[in-house]
Amino acid sequence: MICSIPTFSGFGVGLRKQHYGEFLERQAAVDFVEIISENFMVDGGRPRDILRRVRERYPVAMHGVSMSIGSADGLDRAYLVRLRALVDEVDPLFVSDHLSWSRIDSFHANDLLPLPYTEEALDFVCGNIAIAQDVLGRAMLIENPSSYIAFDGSTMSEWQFIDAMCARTGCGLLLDVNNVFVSASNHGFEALDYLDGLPAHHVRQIHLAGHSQGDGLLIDTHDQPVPDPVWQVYEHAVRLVGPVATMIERDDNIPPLAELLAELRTARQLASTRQAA
Amino acid sequence: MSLATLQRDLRELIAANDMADRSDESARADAGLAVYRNNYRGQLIACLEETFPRTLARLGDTAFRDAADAHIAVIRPSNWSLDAYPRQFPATLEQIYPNDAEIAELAWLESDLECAFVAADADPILPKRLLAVDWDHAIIRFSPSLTVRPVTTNAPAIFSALSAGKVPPAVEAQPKQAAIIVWRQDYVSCFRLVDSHEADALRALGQGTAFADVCAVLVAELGEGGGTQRAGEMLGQWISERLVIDVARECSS
Repeated sequence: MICSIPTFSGFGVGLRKQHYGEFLERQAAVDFVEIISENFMVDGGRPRDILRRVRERYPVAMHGVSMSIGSADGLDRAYLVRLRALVDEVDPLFVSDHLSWSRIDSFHANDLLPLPYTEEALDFVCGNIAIAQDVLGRAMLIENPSSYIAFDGSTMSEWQFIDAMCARTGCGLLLDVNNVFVSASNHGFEALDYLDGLPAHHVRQIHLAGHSQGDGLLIDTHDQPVPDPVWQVYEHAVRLVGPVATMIERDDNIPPLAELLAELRTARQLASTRQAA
Repeated sequence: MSLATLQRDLRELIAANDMADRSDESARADAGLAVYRNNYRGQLIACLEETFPRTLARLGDTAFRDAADAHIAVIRPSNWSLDAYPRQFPATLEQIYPNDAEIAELAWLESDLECAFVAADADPILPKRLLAVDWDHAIIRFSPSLTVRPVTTNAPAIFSALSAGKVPPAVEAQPKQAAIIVWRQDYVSCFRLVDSHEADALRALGQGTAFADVCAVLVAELGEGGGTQRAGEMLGQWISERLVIDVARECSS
Protein backbone atom coordinates (compact mmCIF):
# COMPACT_ATOMS: atom_id res chain seq x y z
CA MET A 1 0.00 0.00 0.00
CA ILE A 2 1.33 3.44 -0.91
CA CYS A 3 1.90 6.00 1.84
CA SER A 4 -0.50 8.87 1.25
CA ILE A 5 1.13 11.30 3.68
CA PRO A 6 2.53 14.36 1.85
CA THR A 7 6.21 15.11 2.21
CA PHE A 8 7.25 18.11 4.31
CA SER A 9 10.93 18.86 4.15
CA GLY A 10 11.34 21.32 7.01
CA PHE A 11 13.53 21.26 10.12
CA GLY A 12 12.17 21.42 13.65
CA VAL A 13 12.67 20.68 17.33
CA GLY A 14 10.60 19.10 20.05
CA LEU A 15 8.51 21.62 22.00
CA ARG A 16 9.52 21.42 25.65
CA LYS A 17 8.17 23.56 28.47
CA GLN A 18 11.58 25.09 29.16
CA HIS A 19 11.29 26.82 25.77
CA TYR A 20 7.60 27.82 25.71
CA GLY A 21 8.45 31.47 26.30
CA GLU A 22 11.01 31.67 23.50
CA PHE A 23 8.68 30.01 21.01
CA LEU A 24 5.84 32.36 21.91
CA GLU A 25 7.74 35.62 22.32
CA ARG A 26 9.63 35.47 19.03
CA GLN A 27 9.67 33.44 15.86
CA ALA A 28 12.22 30.68 16.42
CA ALA A 29 14.29 29.50 13.46
CA VAL A 30 12.34 26.30 12.94
CA ASP A 31 9.99 25.12 10.22
CA PHE A 32 7.85 23.15 12.66
CA VAL A 33 7.71 21.95 16.24
CA GLU A 34 6.84 18.50 17.48
CA ILE A 35 4.73 18.00 20.59
CA ILE A 36 4.34 14.94 22.79
CA SER A 37 0.64 14.37 22.13
CA GLU A 38 -0.17 13.04 25.60
CA ASN A 39 1.14 16.21 27.28
CA PHE A 40 -1.73 18.07 25.67
CA MET A 41 -4.46 15.40 25.82
CA VAL A 42 -5.89 17.08 28.91
CA ASP A 43 -9.27 18.68 29.37
CA GLY A 44 -8.07 22.26 29.56
CA GLY A 45 -5.86 24.71 31.41
CA ARG A 46 -2.50 26.19 30.55
CA PRO A 47 -1.19 23.26 28.42
CA ARG A 48 -4.03 23.64 25.94
CA ASP A 49 -3.63 27.42 25.91
CA ILE A 50 0.10 27.06 25.18
CA LEU A 51 -0.62 24.66 22.35
CA ARG A 52 -3.22 26.96 20.77
CA ARG A 53 -0.78 29.86 20.82
CA VAL A 54 2.13 27.77 19.50
CA ARG A 55 -0.07 26.44 16.72
CA GLU A 56 -0.85 30.01 15.65
CA ARG A 57 2.86 30.52 14.97
CA TYR A 58 4.22 27.15 13.83
CA PRO A 59 3.22 23.99 12.00
CA VAL A 60 2.97 21.19 14.56
CA ALA A 61 3.72 17.47 14.38
CA MET A 62 2.05 15.27 17.00
CA HIS A 63 4.19 12.49 18.44
CA GLY A 64 2.61 9.99 20.80
CA VAL A 65 4.09 7.57 23.31
CA SER A 66 1.03 5.74 24.66
CA MET A 67 -0.94 4.26 21.77
CA SER A 68 0.64 0.83 22.36
CA ILE A 69 0.33 -0.15 18.73
CA GLY A 70 1.73 -3.60 19.46
CA SER A 71 -0.71 -4.62 22.20
CA ALA A 72 -2.05 -8.13 21.76
CA ASP A 73 -5.38 -7.09 23.27
CA GLY A 74 -6.05 -4.20 20.94
CA LEU A 75 -6.09 -0.45 21.30
CA ASP A 76 -7.67 1.77 23.94
CA ARG A 77 -10.63 3.33 22.14
CA ALA A 78 -11.02 6.14 24.66
CA TYR A 79 -7.39 7.08 24.05
CA LEU A 80 -7.93 7.11 20.30
CA VAL A 81 -11.03 9.27 20.56
CA ARG A 82 -9.21 11.78 22.74
CA LEU A 83 -6.25 11.80 20.35
CA ARG A 84 -8.62 12.35 17.42
CA ALA A 85 -10.09 15.40 19.16
CA LEU A 86 -6.63 16.90 19.55
CA VAL A 87 -5.76 16.06 15.94
CA ASP A 88 -8.90 17.89 14.79
CA GLU A 89 -7.92 20.93 16.84
CA VAL A 90 -4.24 21.03 15.86
CA ASP A 91 -4.43 19.91 12.22
CA PRO A 92 -0.88 18.56 12.52
CA LEU A 93 1.68 17.80 9.84
CA PHE A 94 1.99 14.24 11.15
CA VAL A 95 0.56 11.99 13.82
CA SER A 96 3.08 9.43 14.99
CA ASP A 97 3.69 6.76 17.61
CA HIS A 98 6.10 3.89 18.14
CA LEU A 99 6.50 0.33 16.98
CA SER A 100 6.26 -1.00 20.52
CA TRP A 101 3.73 -1.90 23.17
CA SER A 102 3.07 -0.60 26.66
CA ARG A 103 -0.35 -1.95 27.68
CA ILE A 104 -1.67 -5.44 28.30
CA ASP A 105 -4.93 -6.11 30.16
CA SER A 106 -5.24 -3.30 32.71
CA PHE A 107 -1.50 -2.74 33.04
CA HIS A 108 0.13 0.25 31.37
CA ALA A 109 3.92 0.32 31.59
CA ASN A 110 4.15 3.88 30.21
CA ASP A 111 7.25 2.71 28.35
CA LEU A 112 8.07 1.61 24.82
CA LEU A 113 8.42 -2.14 25.23
CA PRO A 114 9.84 -4.30 22.45
CA LEU A 115 7.96 -6.70 20.20
CA PRO A 116 9.03 -10.05 18.79
CA TYR A 117 9.25 -9.82 15.02
CA THR A 118 6.88 -12.63 14.09
CA GLU A 119 3.97 -13.03 11.69
CA GLU A 120 1.58 -13.04 14.65
CA ALA A 121 2.95 -9.73 15.97
CA LEU A 122 2.81 -8.29 12.47
CA ASP A 123 -0.88 -9.20 12.27
CA PHE A 124 -1.60 -7.48 15.59
CA VAL A 125 0.43 -4.39 14.72
CA CYS A 126 -1.12 -4.01 11.28
CA GLY A 127 -4.63 -4.57 12.63
CA ASN A 128 -4.07 -1.96 15.33
CA ILE A 129 -2.60 0.55 12.88
CA ALA A 130 -5.61 0.07 10.60
CA ILE A 131 -7.98 0.78 13.50
CA ALA A 132 -5.98 3.81 14.63
CA GLN A 133 -5.82 5.25 11.13
CA ASP A 134 -9.56 4.71 10.76
CA VAL A 135 -10.38 6.49 14.03
CA LEU A 136 -7.91 9.30 13.33
CA GLY A 137 -9.10 9.69 9.75
CA ARG A 138 -5.56 9.85 8.45
CA ALA A 139 -2.43 7.78 7.92
CA MET A 140 0.07 7.65 10.76
CA LEU A 141 3.82 7.61 11.02
CA ILE A 142 5.28 4.74 13.02
CA GLU A 143 8.70 5.18 14.62
CA ASN A 144 11.31 2.45 14.77
CA PRO A 145 12.11 1.70 18.43
CA SER A 146 15.33 1.43 20.35
CA SER A 147 15.44 -1.78 22.34
CA TYR A 148 17.46 -3.58 24.98
CA ILE A 149 16.22 -7.13 24.59
CA ALA A 150 15.51 -9.30 21.55
CA PHE A 151 13.36 -12.40 21.33
CA ASP A 152 14.55 -15.84 20.25
CA GLY A 153 11.21 -16.39 18.54
CA SER A 154 11.62 -13.57 16.04
CA THR A 155 11.43 -14.83 12.49
CA MET A 156 12.42 -11.64 10.70
CA SER A 157 14.62 -8.61 11.23
CA GLU A 158 13.20 -5.35 12.50
CA TRP A 159 13.59 -3.72 9.10
CA GLN A 160 11.84 -6.62 7.38
CA PHE A 161 9.00 -6.29 9.90
CA ILE A 162 8.77 -2.54 9.22
CA ASP A 163 8.83 -3.06 5.47
CA ALA A 164 5.92 -5.50 5.71
CA MET A 165 4.05 -3.22 8.12
CA CYS A 166 4.28 -0.26 5.75
CA ALA A 167 3.26 -2.34 2.76
CA ARG A 168 0.18 -3.71 4.51
CA THR A 169 -1.07 -0.55 6.22
CA GLY A 170 0.13 2.36 4.08
CA CYS A 171 1.52 4.01 7.19
CA GLY A 172 4.54 6.26 6.93
CA LEU A 173 7.80 5.91 8.82
CA LEU A 174 9.30 8.15 11.41
CA LEU A 175 12.92 7.12 11.18
CA ASP A 176 14.79 7.71 14.42
CA VAL A 177 18.42 7.37 13.40
CA ASN A 178 19.59 7.42 17.02
CA ASN A 179 17.31 4.46 17.73
CA VAL A 180 18.83 2.64 14.78
CA PHE A 181 22.31 3.30 16.13
CA VAL A 182 21.38 2.28 19.70
CA SER A 183 19.66 -0.96 18.64
CA ALA A 184 22.43 -1.79 16.17
CA SER A 185 24.97 -1.49 18.98
CA ASN A 186 22.84 -3.43 21.48
CA HIS A 187 21.89 -6.26 19.13
CA GLY A 188 24.95 -6.48 16.93
CA PHE A 189 23.73 -5.52 13.48
CA GLU A 190 24.95 -2.84 11.10
CA ALA A 191 23.03 0.43 11.22
CA LEU A 192 23.55 1.00 7.51
CA ASP A 193 22.21 -2.46 6.66
CA TYR A 194 19.12 -1.55 8.65
CA LEU A 195 18.64 1.67 6.69
CA ASP A 196 19.18 -0.08 3.39
CA GLY A 197 16.47 -2.59 4.30
CA LEU A 198 13.81 0.00 5.09
CA PRO A 199 11.16 1.14 2.61
CA ALA A 200 12.75 4.57 2.12
CA HIS A 201 9.76 5.89 0.17
CA HIS A 202 7.62 5.57 3.33
CA VAL A 203 9.87 7.79 5.46
CA ARG A 204 8.28 11.17 6.16
CA GLN A 205 10.19 12.32 9.23
CA ILE A 206 13.57 11.78 10.87
CA HIS A 207 14.40 12.08 14.57
CA LEU A 208 17.88 13.01 15.72
CA ALA A 209 18.88 12.50 19.34
CA GLY A 210 21.63 11.42 21.67
CA HIS A 211 22.09 8.45 23.97
CA SER A 212 24.08 7.29 26.99
CA GLN A 213 26.34 4.36 27.77
CA GLY A 214 24.68 1.96 30.18
CA ASP A 215 25.84 -1.29 31.71
CA GLY A 216 27.00 -2.97 28.52
CA LEU A 217 24.23 -1.38 26.51
CA LEU A 218 23.53 1.96 24.88
CA ILE A 219 20.51 3.64 26.45
CA ASP A 220 18.19 5.83 24.41
CA THR A 221 18.14 8.64 26.96
CA HIS A 222 17.63 11.62 24.63
CA ASP A 223 19.57 13.70 27.13
CA GLN A 224 22.73 14.37 25.11
CA PRO A 225 23.66 16.24 21.94
CA VAL A 226 23.55 14.21 18.75
CA PRO A 227 26.91 12.34 18.70
CA ASP A 228 29.11 11.97 15.62
CA PRO A 229 28.21 8.33 14.90
CA VAL A 230 24.52 9.26 14.80
CA TRP A 231 25.26 12.16 12.46
CA GLN A 232 26.94 9.61 10.16
CA VAL A 233 23.84 7.43 10.19
CA TYR A 234 21.79 10.55 9.44
CA GLU A 235 23.95 11.36 6.43
CA HIS A 236 23.33 7.91 5.03
CA ALA A 237 19.61 8.19 5.78
CA VAL A 238 19.06 11.51 4.01
CA ARG A 239 20.86 10.19 0.95
CA LEU A 240 18.39 7.28 0.89
CA VAL A 241 15.14 9.03 1.72
CA GLY A 242 15.64 12.51 0.25
CA PRO A 243 14.21 15.69 1.75
CA VAL A 244 11.87 14.89 4.64
CA ALA A 245 11.04 16.60 7.93
CA THR A 246 13.94 16.38 10.37
CA MET A 247 13.97 17.30 14.02
CA ILE A 248 16.14 17.35 17.12
CA GLU A 249 14.45 15.37 19.88
CA ARG A 250 15.69 16.18 23.38
CA ASP A 251 13.64 14.85 26.29
CA ASP A 252 15.89 15.30 29.30
CA ASN A 253 18.78 17.50 30.39
CA ILE A 254 17.14 20.16 28.23
CA PRO A 255 19.68 22.79 27.07
CA PRO A 256 19.00 26.37 26.01
CA LEU A 257 17.01 26.49 22.78
CA ALA A 258 20.00 28.06 21.02
CA GLU A 259 21.96 24.82 21.46
CA LEU A 260 19.21 22.77 19.84
CA LEU A 261 18.94 25.28 17.00
CA ALA A 262 22.70 24.97 16.46
CA GLU A 263 22.26 21.19 16.12
CA LEU A 264 19.41 21.84 13.73
CA ARG A 265 21.69 24.00 11.57
CA THR A 266 24.10 21.07 11.39
CA ALA A 267 21.25 18.86 10.23
CA ARG A 268 20.27 21.38 7.56
CA GLN A 269 23.86 21.54 6.31
CA LEU A 270 24.33 17.79 6.21
CA ALA A 271 21.00 17.24 4.49
CA SER A 272 21.74 19.92 1.95
CA THR A 273 25.19 18.52 1.20
CA ARG A 274 24.10 14.89 1.03
CA GLN A 275 21.04 15.52 -1.08
CA ALA A 276 23.07 17.66 -3.50
CA ALA A 277 25.58 14.81 -3.78
CA MET B 1 4.42 -18.58 22.81
CA SER B 2 1.59 -16.27 21.79
CA LEU B 3 2.13 -12.51 21.74
CA ALA B 4 -0.37 -12.05 24.57
CA THR B 5 1.45 -14.57 26.75
CA LEU B 6 4.81 -12.99 25.97
CA GLN B 7 3.49 -9.55 26.89
CA ARG B 8 1.97 -10.76 30.16
CA ASP B 9 5.23 -12.53 31.05
CA LEU B 10 7.27 -9.43 30.25
CA ARG B 11 4.86 -7.32 32.31
CA GLU B 12 5.57 -9.50 35.35
CA LEU B 13 9.32 -9.41 34.78
CA ILE B 14 9.26 -5.61 34.60
CA ALA B 15 6.81 -4.87 37.41
CA ALA B 16 7.68 -7.69 39.81
CA ASN B 17 8.53 -6.33 43.24
CA ASP B 18 11.45 -8.63 43.87
CA MET B 19 13.27 -10.36 41.04
CA ALA B 20 14.88 -12.69 43.60
CA ASP B 21 11.46 -14.28 44.06
CA ARG B 22 11.44 -15.39 40.47
CA SER B 23 12.83 -18.69 39.34
CA ASP B 24 13.93 -17.26 35.99
CA GLU B 25 17.62 -16.80 36.74
CA SER B 26 18.50 -15.85 33.20
CA ALA B 27 15.98 -13.02 33.27
CA ARG B 28 17.46 -11.65 36.46
CA ALA B 29 20.85 -11.54 34.83
CA ASP B 30 19.61 -9.89 31.70
CA ALA B 31 21.00 -6.37 31.52
CA GLY B 32 18.42 -5.43 28.90
CA LEU B 33 15.56 -6.38 31.14
CA ALA B 34 17.14 -4.34 33.92
CA VAL B 35 16.87 -1.25 31.71
CA TYR B 36 13.11 -1.71 31.38
CA ARG B 37 12.74 -2.44 35.10
CA ASN B 38 14.71 0.67 35.98
CA ASN B 39 12.67 2.77 33.55
CA TYR B 40 9.44 1.44 35.04
CA ARG B 41 10.28 2.10 38.67
CA GLY B 42 12.24 5.25 37.98
CA GLN B 43 9.47 7.01 36.15
CA LEU B 44 6.84 6.02 38.73
CA ILE B 45 8.98 7.37 41.55
CA ALA B 46 9.77 10.50 39.55
CA CYS B 47 6.13 11.22 38.86
CA LEU B 48 5.28 10.81 42.56
CA GLU B 49 8.12 13.16 43.53
CA GLU B 50 7.05 15.74 40.94
CA THR B 51 3.40 15.64 42.00
CA PHE B 52 4.02 15.75 45.75
CA PRO B 53 7.01 18.05 46.40
CA ARG B 54 5.60 19.39 49.67
CA THR B 55 4.65 15.94 50.93
CA LEU B 56 8.21 14.88 50.10
CA ALA B 57 9.56 17.86 52.03
CA ARG B 58 7.30 17.02 54.97
CA LEU B 59 8.28 13.34 55.10
CA GLY B 60 11.91 13.61 54.06
CA ASP B 61 13.59 11.69 51.25
CA THR B 62 13.86 8.32 52.98
CA ALA B 63 10.31 8.12 54.32
CA PHE B 64 8.89 9.39 51.04
CA ARG B 65 10.85 6.81 49.05
CA ASP B 66 9.65 4.06 51.42
CA ALA B 67 6.07 5.19 50.90
CA ALA B 68 6.58 5.36 47.13
CA ASP B 69 8.04 1.84 47.13
CA ALA B 70 5.05 0.58 49.13
CA HIS B 71 2.68 2.26 46.70
CA ILE B 72 4.43 0.90 43.60
CA ALA B 73 4.41 -2.59 45.12
CA VAL B 74 0.64 -2.54 45.35
CA ILE B 75 -0.63 -0.13 42.69
CA ARG B 76 0.36 -0.73 39.08
CA PRO B 77 -0.19 2.00 36.48
CA SER B 78 -3.35 1.39 34.49
CA ASN B 79 -3.83 4.56 32.48
CA TRP B 80 -2.20 5.74 29.26
CA SER B 81 -1.37 8.97 31.06
CA LEU B 82 1.29 8.81 33.74
CA ASP B 83 -0.44 11.85 35.27
CA ALA B 84 -3.16 9.49 36.53
CA TYR B 85 -0.76 7.37 38.57
CA PRO B 86 -0.19 9.73 41.54
CA ARG B 87 -3.91 10.14 42.27
CA GLN B 88 -4.06 7.06 44.52
CA PHE B 89 -0.90 7.87 46.43
CA PRO B 90 -2.67 9.93 49.15
CA ALA B 91 -4.82 6.87 49.95
CA THR B 92 -1.63 4.84 50.39
CA LEU B 93 -0.31 7.52 52.76
CA GLU B 94 -3.55 7.29 54.77
CA GLN B 95 -2.79 3.62 55.34
CA ILE B 96 0.88 4.12 56.14
CA TYR B 97 0.31 7.08 58.48
CA PRO B 98 -3.10 6.47 60.12
CA ASN B 99 -2.20 8.68 63.09
CA ASP B 100 -0.69 11.53 61.08
CA ALA B 101 -3.63 12.68 59.03
CA GLU B 102 -1.90 15.88 57.94
CA ILE B 103 0.44 13.87 55.67
CA ALA B 104 -2.29 12.35 53.51
CA GLU B 105 -4.27 15.60 53.60
CA LEU B 106 -1.23 17.49 52.36
CA ALA B 107 -0.91 14.95 49.54
CA TRP B 108 -4.62 15.16 48.69
CA LEU B 109 -4.27 18.93 48.39
CA GLU B 110 -1.28 18.59 46.06
CA SER B 111 -3.12 16.02 43.95
CA ASP B 112 -6.28 18.12 43.73
CA LEU B 113 -4.27 21.17 42.68
CA GLU B 114 -2.64 19.13 39.88
CA CYS B 115 -6.04 17.93 38.69
CA ALA B 116 -7.48 21.45 38.75
CA PHE B 117 -4.54 22.67 36.65
CA VAL B 118 -5.70 20.65 33.65
CA ALA B 119 -9.44 20.54 34.32
CA ALA B 120 -11.82 21.57 31.55
CA ASP B 121 -11.95 25.27 30.75
CA ALA B 122 -15.10 27.20 31.64
CA ASP B 123 -15.65 30.95 31.66
CA PRO B 124 -17.07 32.48 34.85
CA ILE B 125 -20.59 33.83 34.61
CA LEU B 126 -20.87 37.43 33.42
CA PRO B 127 -22.17 39.83 36.10
CA LYS B 128 -24.93 41.13 33.82
CA ARG B 129 -26.41 37.62 33.61
CA LEU B 130 -26.91 37.61 37.37
CA LEU B 131 -29.33 40.51 37.14
CA ALA B 132 -31.93 38.34 35.44
CA VAL B 133 -31.63 35.30 37.74
CA ASP B 134 -34.73 34.06 39.53
CA TRP B 135 -32.97 33.00 42.74
CA ASP B 136 -36.02 31.13 44.01
CA HIS B 137 -35.49 28.59 41.21
CA ALA B 138 -31.78 28.92 40.54
CA ILE B 139 -29.45 25.97 39.96
CA ILE B 140 -25.81 27.05 40.30
CA ARG B 141 -23.14 25.43 38.16
CA PHE B 142 -19.55 25.59 39.32
CA SER B 143 -16.24 25.43 37.51
CA PRO B 144 -15.43 21.83 36.50
CA SER B 145 -12.12 22.29 38.30
CA LEU B 146 -13.83 22.51 41.72
CA THR B 147 -13.27 19.80 44.32
CA VAL B 148 -14.49 19.81 47.92
CA ARG B 149 -12.53 17.53 50.25
CA PRO B 150 -12.88 17.05 54.03
CA VAL B 151 -9.92 18.12 56.12
CA THR B 152 -9.24 17.38 59.77
CA THR B 153 -5.88 19.12 60.23
CA ASN B 154 -4.14 22.37 59.34
CA ALA B 155 -2.65 20.74 56.23
CA PRO B 156 -3.48 23.87 54.17
CA ALA B 157 -1.33 26.00 56.49
CA ILE B 158 1.45 23.41 56.30
CA PHE B 159 1.18 23.49 52.51
CA SER B 160 1.43 27.29 52.43
CA ALA B 161 4.45 27.34 54.75
CA LEU B 162 6.29 24.68 52.73
CA SER B 163 5.48 26.54 49.50
CA ALA B 164 6.98 29.70 50.94
CA GLY B 165 10.07 27.89 52.23
CA LYS B 166 9.08 28.58 55.82
CA VAL B 167 9.03 26.27 58.82
CA PRO B 168 5.57 24.68 58.83
CA PRO B 169 3.33 25.18 61.86
CA ALA B 170 2.71 22.42 64.37
CA VAL B 171 -0.10 20.09 63.46
CA GLU B 172 -3.48 21.26 64.69
CA ALA B 173 -6.96 19.85 64.37
CA GLN B 174 -9.55 21.71 62.29
CA PRO B 175 -13.09 22.36 63.50
CA LYS B 176 -15.35 19.42 62.71
CA GLN B 177 -16.43 18.87 59.10
CA ALA B 178 -14.25 21.57 57.61
CA ALA B 179 -13.14 21.12 54.01
CA ILE B 180 -10.63 22.39 51.46
CA ILE B 181 -11.95 23.58 48.16
CA VAL B 182 -9.63 23.55 45.15
CA TRP B 183 -10.32 25.17 41.80
CA ARG B 184 -8.61 27.05 39.00
CA GLN B 185 -8.80 30.76 38.25
CA ASP B 186 -7.71 31.30 34.66
CA TYR B 187 -4.58 29.11 34.58
CA VAL B 188 -3.69 29.14 38.27
CA SER B 189 -4.87 26.47 40.71
CA CYS B 190 -5.93 27.78 44.12
CA PHE B 191 -7.49 26.55 47.34
CA ARG B 192 -9.35 27.82 50.38
CA LEU B 193 -10.40 26.35 53.71
CA VAL B 194 -14.18 26.37 54.19
CA ASP B 195 -16.39 25.62 57.19
CA SER B 196 -19.02 22.89 57.33
CA HIS B 197 -21.86 25.19 56.18
CA GLU B 198 -20.05 26.20 53.02
CA ALA B 199 -18.77 22.68 52.34
CA ASP B 200 -22.28 21.24 52.65
CA ALA B 201 -23.69 24.01 50.47
CA LEU B 202 -21.09 23.44 47.75
CA ARG B 203 -21.66 19.69 47.77
CA ALA B 204 -25.43 20.08 47.60
CA LEU B 205 -25.29 22.67 44.84
CA GLY B 206 -22.79 20.52 42.96
CA GLN B 207 -25.32 17.69 43.00
CA GLY B 208 -28.00 19.92 41.47
CA THR B 209 -29.85 21.09 44.59
CA ALA B 210 -31.61 24.41 44.04
CA PHE B 211 -30.02 27.44 45.65
CA ALA B 212 -33.29 28.18 47.48
CA ASP B 213 -33.20 24.74 49.10
CA VAL B 214 -29.61 25.29 50.23
CA CYS B 215 -30.68 28.65 51.69
CA ALA B 216 -33.48 26.89 53.57
CA VAL B 217 -30.96 24.52 55.16
CA LEU B 218 -28.76 27.44 56.18
CA VAL B 219 -31.76 29.23 57.71
CA ALA B 220 -32.61 26.09 59.66
CA GLU B 221 -29.04 25.89 60.96
CA LEU B 222 -28.25 29.57 61.50
CA GLY B 223 -31.64 31.23 61.93
CA GLU B 224 -33.62 33.43 59.54
CA GLY B 225 -31.31 36.41 59.46
CA GLY B 226 -28.04 34.52 59.86
CA GLY B 227 -28.85 31.86 57.25
CA THR B 228 -29.94 34.34 54.60
CA GLN B 229 -26.95 36.57 55.23
CA ARG B 230 -24.53 33.64 55.06
CA ALA B 231 -26.03 32.40 51.80
CA GLY B 232 -25.61 35.84 50.26
CA GLU B 233 -22.02 36.16 51.47
CA MET B 234 -21.06 32.75 50.11
CA LEU B 235 -22.67 33.42 46.76
CA GLY B 236 -20.87 36.75 46.49
CA GLN B 237 -17.55 35.12 47.28
CA TRP B 238 -18.07 32.28 44.80
CA ILE B 239 -18.84 34.80 42.06
CA SER B 240 -15.84 36.97 42.92
CA GLU B 241 -13.61 33.89 42.95
CA ARG B 242 -14.84 32.93 39.45
CA LEU B 243 -16.23 29.66 40.74
CA VAL B 244 -19.72 30.16 39.28
CA ILE B 245 -19.92 29.48 35.55
CA ASP B 246 -23.68 29.40 35.06
CA VAL B 247 -26.99 29.80 36.82
CA ALA B 248 -29.82 27.80 35.29
CA ARG B 249 -33.50 27.82 36.11
CA GLU B 250 -34.71 24.81 38.08
CA CYS B 251 -36.89 22.52 35.99
CA SER B 252 -40.44 22.32 37.41
CA SER B 253 -41.48 18.72 38.07
